[in-house]
Amino acid sequence: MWSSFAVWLPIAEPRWIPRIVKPPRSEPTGDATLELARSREAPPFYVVDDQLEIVFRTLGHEGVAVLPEPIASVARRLRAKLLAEPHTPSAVGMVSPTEIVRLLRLDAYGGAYHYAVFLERFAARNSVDRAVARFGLSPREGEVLDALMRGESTNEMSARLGISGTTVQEHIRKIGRKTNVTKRSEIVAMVIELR
Amino acid sequence: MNGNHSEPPSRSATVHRIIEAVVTGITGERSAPYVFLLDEDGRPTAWPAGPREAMPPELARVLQAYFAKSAQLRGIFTELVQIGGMRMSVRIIPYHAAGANRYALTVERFATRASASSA
Repeated sequence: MWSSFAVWLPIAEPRWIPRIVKPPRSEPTGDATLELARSREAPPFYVVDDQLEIVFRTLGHEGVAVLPEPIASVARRLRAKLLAEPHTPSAVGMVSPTEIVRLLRLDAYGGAYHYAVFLERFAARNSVDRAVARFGLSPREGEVLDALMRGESTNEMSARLGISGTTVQEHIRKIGRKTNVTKRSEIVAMVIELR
Repeated sequence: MNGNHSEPPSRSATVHRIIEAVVTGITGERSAPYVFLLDEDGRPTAWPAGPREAMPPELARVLQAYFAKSAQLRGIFTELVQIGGMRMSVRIIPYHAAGANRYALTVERFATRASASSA
């Protein structure tokens, strides 16, 4: 069995089997670390066939029969991209600024493709809280920033927060002044990178 | 109180594209687990696309021990395996497909907060 298994390990870049052995760092070892590994939830993912029908789903998602929208539409776009670029094994697309879909192509027998579909989340709420604290944003500016991180347009923020579009833009300008960036995309990027 | 300010769709679409480029760029740099699907004997039926090389013996030993157990005793399994100087988190998750036992295997680098920040 193992001789047949042995040929199927990937050497895609970046290599997951490191060639350079790094010096050991002082980090936890032993049973406590294994417990930590076991306590971490596996990232939720699906495996779908080439028609994007679900073959496998992680536990807790048993009731999901098909990829939910809008994940499915992003997955279709990414599948088309991977089919057009046969040497690219994975692609990443955005459902919203806090929800990311990663599609990994899997080979199967007979030249068929499967795809692993990972759903990834930015801890945007924590990032927003950090930004509010670090830059002294007002509660309202924090709400606008949170909406910005979820990809809402000025009109959507205006409707949901019950303020005018001009006021929304004024809040965004103030956020920009306090964070020393000007564009919405720069604000989002800055908040995502905030540690 | 809602304003009637309207934003040209093209600008909104442009902002969306820029945000997507930023967000997916950051995400794309993160590593993702390697995913395999295994049959009931532990043979792969789907594997990461791309060229392949031999399985590291450390991982082969773990899989061999797991599949040596009877199917009834095979549950969700997590183990840390030292491969080439790196700690890898190996998970095996059983599932049923067409009345047969199947397994998903994921292999990813395991980092504690301390080791991630010192990397």
